[in-house]
Amino acid sequence: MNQDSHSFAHDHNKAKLIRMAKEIADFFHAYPQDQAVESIAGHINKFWTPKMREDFLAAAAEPGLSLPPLVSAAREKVRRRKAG
Amino acid sequence: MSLIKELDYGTPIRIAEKEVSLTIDGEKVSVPAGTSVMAAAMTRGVKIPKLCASDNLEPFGSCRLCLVEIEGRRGTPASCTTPAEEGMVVHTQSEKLARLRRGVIELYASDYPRDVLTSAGGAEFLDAAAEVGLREVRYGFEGANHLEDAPDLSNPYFAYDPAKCIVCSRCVRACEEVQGTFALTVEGRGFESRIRPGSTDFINSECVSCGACVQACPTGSLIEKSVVAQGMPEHSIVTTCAYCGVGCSFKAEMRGEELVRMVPYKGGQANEGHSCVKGRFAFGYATHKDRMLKPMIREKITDPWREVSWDEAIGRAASELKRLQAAYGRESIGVITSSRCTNEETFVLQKLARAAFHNNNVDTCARVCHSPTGYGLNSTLGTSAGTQDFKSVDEADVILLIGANPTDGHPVFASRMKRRLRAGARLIVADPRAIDLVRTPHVKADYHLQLKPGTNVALLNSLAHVVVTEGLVDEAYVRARCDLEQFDAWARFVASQKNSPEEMEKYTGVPARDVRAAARLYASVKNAAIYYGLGITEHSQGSTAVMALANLAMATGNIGHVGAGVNPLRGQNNVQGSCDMGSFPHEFSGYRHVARDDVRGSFEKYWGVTLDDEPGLRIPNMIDEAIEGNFKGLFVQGEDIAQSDPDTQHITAGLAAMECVIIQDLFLNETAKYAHIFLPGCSFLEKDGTFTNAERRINRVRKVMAPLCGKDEWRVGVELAQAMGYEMNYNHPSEIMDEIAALTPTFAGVSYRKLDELGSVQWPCNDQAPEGTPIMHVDRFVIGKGHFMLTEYVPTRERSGPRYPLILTTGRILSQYNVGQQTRRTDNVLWHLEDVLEIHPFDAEQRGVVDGDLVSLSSRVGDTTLRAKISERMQPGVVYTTFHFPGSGANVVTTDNSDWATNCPEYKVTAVEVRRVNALSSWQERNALEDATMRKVLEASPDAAE
Repeated sequence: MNQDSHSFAHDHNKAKLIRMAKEIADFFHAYPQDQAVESIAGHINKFWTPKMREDFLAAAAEPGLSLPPLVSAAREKVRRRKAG
Repeated sequence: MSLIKELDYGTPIRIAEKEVSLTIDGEKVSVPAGTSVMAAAMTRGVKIPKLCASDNLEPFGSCRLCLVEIEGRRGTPASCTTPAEEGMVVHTQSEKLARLRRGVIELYASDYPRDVLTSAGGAEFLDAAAEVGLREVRYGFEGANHLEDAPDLSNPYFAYDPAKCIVCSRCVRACEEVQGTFALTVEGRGFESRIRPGSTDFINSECVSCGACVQACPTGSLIEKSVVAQGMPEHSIVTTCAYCGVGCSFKAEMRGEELVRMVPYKGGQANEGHSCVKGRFAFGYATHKDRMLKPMIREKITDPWREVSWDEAIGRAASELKRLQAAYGRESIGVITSSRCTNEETFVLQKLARAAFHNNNVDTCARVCHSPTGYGLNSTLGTSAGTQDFKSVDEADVILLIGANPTDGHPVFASRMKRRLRAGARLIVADPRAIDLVRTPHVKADYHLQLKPGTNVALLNSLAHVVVTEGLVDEAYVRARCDLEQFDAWARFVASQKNSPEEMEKYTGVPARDVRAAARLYASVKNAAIYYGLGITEHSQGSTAVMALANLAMATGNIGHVGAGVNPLRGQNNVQGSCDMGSFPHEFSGYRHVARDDVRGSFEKYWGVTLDDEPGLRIPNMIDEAIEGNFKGLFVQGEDIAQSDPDTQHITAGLAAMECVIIQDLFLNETAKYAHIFLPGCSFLEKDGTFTNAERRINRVRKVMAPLCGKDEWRVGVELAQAMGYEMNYNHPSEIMDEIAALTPTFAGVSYRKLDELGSVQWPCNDQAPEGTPIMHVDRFVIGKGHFMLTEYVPTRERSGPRYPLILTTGRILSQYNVGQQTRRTDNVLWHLEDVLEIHPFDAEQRGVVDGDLVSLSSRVGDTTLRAKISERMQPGVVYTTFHFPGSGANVVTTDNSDWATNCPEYKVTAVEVRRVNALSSWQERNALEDATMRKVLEASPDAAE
């Protein structure tokens, strides 16, 4: 296997979650901004496990990471794992 | 038990508003106008002798056995070709008729083998001879005859013995009218006329081995080789095929516990007596020597397998899963259900995860095929299923077939579709590849929109653009049925210039004028039907494309009536059912989210356990988490993710990282190489349960032989739950269905009793629709108003370029089925012994590749080696292969790109390069080595087996 291609296919889990969030945002991009932000966060809350959401939030908070505005706004509405 | 014999009216009973009344043998009979005298007689139980007639074929009038007398008419007309008329008085029996019929059959008999030992399967001919009282053949048997004609034994499943043929043409007509292949013909004239499969033998002909000709043959000239070998069956049981999503009903015809043949059941509402080569003949895998019939365990995946008792295997599975949860947490284990298993088995397995594992880590192989259908149709129409029954296509005026290849993937439905097309319906095919339906005997698509892989959404938006900008919207329908605010937003969106066919042509490669013409055709008729398959769903925009299809259908008023609709052609027998049963990690049966307190509460009350209100892991997430070290134990029932899922090396790395992989299957499949516990499964012949097909039809699966492994498959999930400390108690799968009905509103009216009474039902089946729902959304959408969704085209990130200049797309073919576990273990390999790479002559020439060359197929994630097949079905720049053989490694090349909404893999678009080589890839060499080392089984110890 081509080693330099490995990272393309096997993104680290957190990088993959960021990528997935961007792809969700690409779909809702056609909608008005408020609706798009709600829908992106709603999709993640509905289909991702609590751990995936936590991993995503941690990855999204990493310094230097540039997120599309819609993803950045939606991140505020992603539900955190319940305590306990 | 006895053999089920279906009533044959001889000719079709016509559908007509007007009835005609006539008298047959002194009895008054009323039938729809256009019905033949023969069929009219049969409605009163009067069977007129016949040989060339069958009620699945148009009347032909060649055998001259069904003669009758009609008062006021001269001569003795054939009852099969004479329509019943008002006031007609018919006599089916007289001395003259008896003499004539005896004379006819006497002539046939004079050229028919006398050796009774060779008469297997000729029951209809022998019965007819008995019916007319034939006692002697006055002409002797020494004259000119066909008794020495050489038989054609080339087909692996049936033989053709011309000596027994009376040239009644039933086989020729069945091939034309029922199957639509036109492979058979009558060659020669008069006494010289013989049935031929073209100018060659059967195996090399156009014949697709559907078996329609064999079923039609009244003389045993065409006969199943299994009947010749095993003798005539003595009893039969109706059950449901376990191959594709058409869900054909079959009579399993048996001798004792031995299956002799599978004969399509005329009363089956999905197939109405037709079949394909897989369901009809490819059942040998069920008793193949490779079947694993004993539970086995091993410590490490490099150890040989050791046979153990069921108790030990289930005990080990339970203790390992409990250990993993104690060590790594509640969410460290999960299950994968299978679309090859019954609804009841699937329901038990998802219950195992939710109630015994106390998490929602359950997913199903629909993840990698039709999960976008569930998401897309639910978002627009409000339910995760197709809208029609198969019969609906009989009234379609225009068919838009996109991303589906029904003649290979859903052959029995394809025959029905071809029948409608031959009757005049128009056809638009949208596919990167020139599939058979683009041009096949007596069928030619009006438009073949040969788009580039990955551009479905661009094409669908441009079709919608034409509908909206050229005033083709069904405004009355939209106003009455759909959310107008959403419609307005959608109409503005698709009407923008960027979505015009002219703008989108640069992405799709489809000439704008063809898109415009196709859109006008689709929108111009009362009944336009959409049929689609994995060519829509298996993309990074799979869900978007499904929504775009639903938008198009709603805008043109094509949902809620016969002949129209949005119809997913499901890949496997129970894809619909496995999704219905709550196999997805975010929802319970009936597509209700786990976060809904009311729904969860009903399950908690019934199951007596607190349930998780958060979604669980999907299959790709399970693998990712395994590689990260967080997911440690997996129970896979009836699925082979190491072969079927994309980016094989990523999948196997995930499996190898787990501490306990449990496989339940018929065979030691590819995934089992990474397993620690193997639990033998049952073939569909050994099961009681139900499958739900692509038209939401719930069909019974009936056990025709005892489980070869000694345990019903549904019991395994139950016993594992019990061993983990959660009580499940059922005595029979019918009790599981009762629980499904109690907990699932769309199944509330389903029971085995009702299925036995009605044959099958299509959900929703409840108080509002006690006998089921053939067509959905008739007066209103299940969510009230139809939702238009905005479907912006977003190109896949998988792009061709200098290093990988071609695009690979994958699919399946007629004779093989998915990962090939079943069909590879049958004589179907005669038609397809290996996966090949189809490549356009231009691309081949540029690379110096000739037909049959070994070529390397490489992508950014891996490479494999296949044989090239030069094919003009492909467009330049696109190559195609199948994934039926594990050694071909098609999924070593596919990537982990996936649908944005569901993570359904993008199997249909992989950037690749092809070059000539003279050796297998390193993955293939390693895989071959692993085949030898990771499948070893120790000899059984004397006390191992139960």
